[in-house]
Amino acid sequence: MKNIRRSIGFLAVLVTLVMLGACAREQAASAPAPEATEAAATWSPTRPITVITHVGSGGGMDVASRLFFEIAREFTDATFVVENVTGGATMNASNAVLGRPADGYTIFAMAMSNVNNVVSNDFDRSVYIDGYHWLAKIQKDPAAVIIRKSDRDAGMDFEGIIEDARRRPGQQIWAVPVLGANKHFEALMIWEATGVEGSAVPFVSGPQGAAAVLGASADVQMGNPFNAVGRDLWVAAIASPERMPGFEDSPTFAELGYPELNNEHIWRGFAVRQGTPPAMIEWMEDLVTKVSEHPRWLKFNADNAIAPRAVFGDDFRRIVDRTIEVTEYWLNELDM
Amino acid sequence: MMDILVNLSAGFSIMFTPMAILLCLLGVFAGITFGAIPGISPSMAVALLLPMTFNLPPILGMVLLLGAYKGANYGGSVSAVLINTPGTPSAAVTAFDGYPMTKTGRVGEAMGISLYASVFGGIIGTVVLILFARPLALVALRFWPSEYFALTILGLTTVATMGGKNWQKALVAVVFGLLLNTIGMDPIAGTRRFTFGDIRLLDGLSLIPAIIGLFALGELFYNIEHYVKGTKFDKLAYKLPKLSYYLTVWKNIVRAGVLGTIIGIFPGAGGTIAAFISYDVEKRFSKNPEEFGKGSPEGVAAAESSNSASAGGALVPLLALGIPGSATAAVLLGSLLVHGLNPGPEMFVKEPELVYGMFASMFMANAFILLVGLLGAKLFVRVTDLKKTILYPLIFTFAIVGSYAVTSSMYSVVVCVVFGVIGWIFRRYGYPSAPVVLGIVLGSLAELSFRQALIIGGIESFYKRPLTLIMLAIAIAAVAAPIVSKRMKEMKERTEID
Repeated sequence: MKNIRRSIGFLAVLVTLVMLGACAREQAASAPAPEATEAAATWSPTRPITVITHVGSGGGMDVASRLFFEIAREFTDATFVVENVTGGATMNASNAVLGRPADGYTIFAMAMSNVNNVVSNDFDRSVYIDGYHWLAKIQKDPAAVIIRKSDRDAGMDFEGIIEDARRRPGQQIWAVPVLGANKHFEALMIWEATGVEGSAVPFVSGPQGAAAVLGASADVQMGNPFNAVGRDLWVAAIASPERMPGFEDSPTFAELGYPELNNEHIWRGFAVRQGTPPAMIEWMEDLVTKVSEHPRWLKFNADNAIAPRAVFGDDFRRIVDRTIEVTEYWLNELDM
Repeated sequence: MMDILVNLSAGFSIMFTPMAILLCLLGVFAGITFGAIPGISPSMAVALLLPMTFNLPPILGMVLLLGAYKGANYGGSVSAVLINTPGTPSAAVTAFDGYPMTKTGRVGEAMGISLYASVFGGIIGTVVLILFARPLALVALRFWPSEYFALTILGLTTVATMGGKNWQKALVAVVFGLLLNTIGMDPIAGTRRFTFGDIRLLDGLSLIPAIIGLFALGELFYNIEHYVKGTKFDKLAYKLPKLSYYLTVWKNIVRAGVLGTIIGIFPGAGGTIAAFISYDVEKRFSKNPEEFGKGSPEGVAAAESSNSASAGGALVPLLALGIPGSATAAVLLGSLLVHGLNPGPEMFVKEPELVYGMFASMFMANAFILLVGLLGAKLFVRVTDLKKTILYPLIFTFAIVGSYAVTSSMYSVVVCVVFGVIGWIFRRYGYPSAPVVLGIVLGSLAELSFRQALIIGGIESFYKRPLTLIMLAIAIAAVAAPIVSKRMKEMKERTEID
């Protein structure tokens, strides 16, 4: 009895301490962080800058961020620390950024999926969208319709896919990472533009979607061109103004007669809290411009079939607004 | 075959350079150290070293990361054996018997078996990877969602042997784990389930903090409840057994190693299912099945060999098809991509030095694990020599810090503490914790693959695909066999009495 009392007492103390710690931290996270009061004419970091990303180690934005800031070291003495804050449908990372001071020492390395999630979960846009200054879009990953090479060799192409979908409405399986997100929307746009209907099945990630097509449990993958690289897969259509290097035998949507699909892509970029010193934003824009033109960054993007981009401020915000519009439209259509 | 040997010798010639040897040793050392810290999984250990590889030639970068991968896999067993805190879901199986061995004073024996099983399991995984990467990867591709569902069911049936006589309690525990999986977003429709408006629950419960809580804190709270001043572990035998001792478990190591590699090739939960199924198989093969869960050397050998071999298995789809089979393989993929290398069938042709250099480095990493493990084990086992008044707060601190590291948020810490209390209650009333882990790990894959299969082929998927049908039949047989044999034994005894 004495032991039980002792253990319950010990437990109660431990749990209380942990909960108090948790509450204090979460309170700090939810409370508005102090705004930067002075904007220095020139900004020079005096301590490490934390780059928070929502993906785990090895994820697309994690690898891109780590390389980006590794290259950035050539242009600045600043130290960048990439921190992976996963979970909460990408919102844990967003909360972590918003919970820190708007002093320029925290950057959010994020992607289109963050915006998708804010809309699909009906989160407060005044916090999770307007709470950010959209610093720079750094990558544009074009939409690609992918099939097996063996099917291509047997005469299948984009028109063939559409014909097949027409013959068996709702039966053709399209592998997408998740439903109600960007790749699913891209598939819906293609079906709408071509007047057919397929069946979207979530396969968690791009590589697993590629595996599903290779193993014939899916007919088509709605992915990025890179999903086909090094595998027995072929890009039957690509959203690009012109044929992409390395994918010369893959026609663009415009060539196939669907110019309205030619700009579909997912994007990745950086954001900082509203109220961040303008001088820091200028400093980062300058850094992004330099890294975006660096041969190593260009090669990394070319190897991964990604178009590097440096789009800043208001222009980036317009891209974010379009993402919101598209997400809202398709979620309404899907009644999700 | 000749090509393989020629390429492998070229790979070894790369490895026998001072820089490669140093990086391999550094990777193994860092991997074991990180892996032994609760909460730092092999994927995190590899990710921590990833930035170091950006300025290295690709092969040297991979040598470092593969060393860390293999080292962390072994390191996870150190904390599982010594303080009942598995760093990864698959290491939870090592704790089943490793920790009871420690508690009964056979810590040196447990550490020795886990080390040798890990090394030889790793070698088996590497050999299978070298010889059969491409054909095995193609087999993995032929697995449709219905087969994945059947595989998860097969994994869940291990609960039948895990529970032993207390199978009802094990069943309750596994169902509890499965139900926990329903928290979060629906994997198909995206609707929120049991999140109560808390966005931190949208992706479900964090697995690693839950495991740390269930095992480490659950055991800790139970021990505190039963703490009597001045008590120590049973008289501890620190000394690692002689080499000949390990021959007694060589069959378990080989069988579990082969099984671990094969099951490990399936992207998703391969490694964990492999560890659970290998443990189950070895228990069925064993002459002393009643010792499993109470400190069986065969159990430790099976779990560790399979766990280590599955690392080789996870590299099969990565190297042969460019599809990462585990979280760690995804980080390795990221490292290759940074260097402009695309794994897949073309890499074997275009970059044979790199591919076979990686294979050679895996052999070398296993040798270094043995070396570092033998030297380190003598040090690690001393952890159990600490006074409980020092050890218990240390375990609590490691559990909390390790949990925090998983998502860099206090949410993980809260999950860890809550599961610690659940683990304590389970322990108190004789419910095993391991089936909860099994339920959490396999539940999401079972649900997703079941629903994928329904969308793709309807209910027919489950009886028209032969492989699905065979695996489901084996699963039913695995559950039914002990019941049937028990009934037959009873009937026979009754007949004899009559």
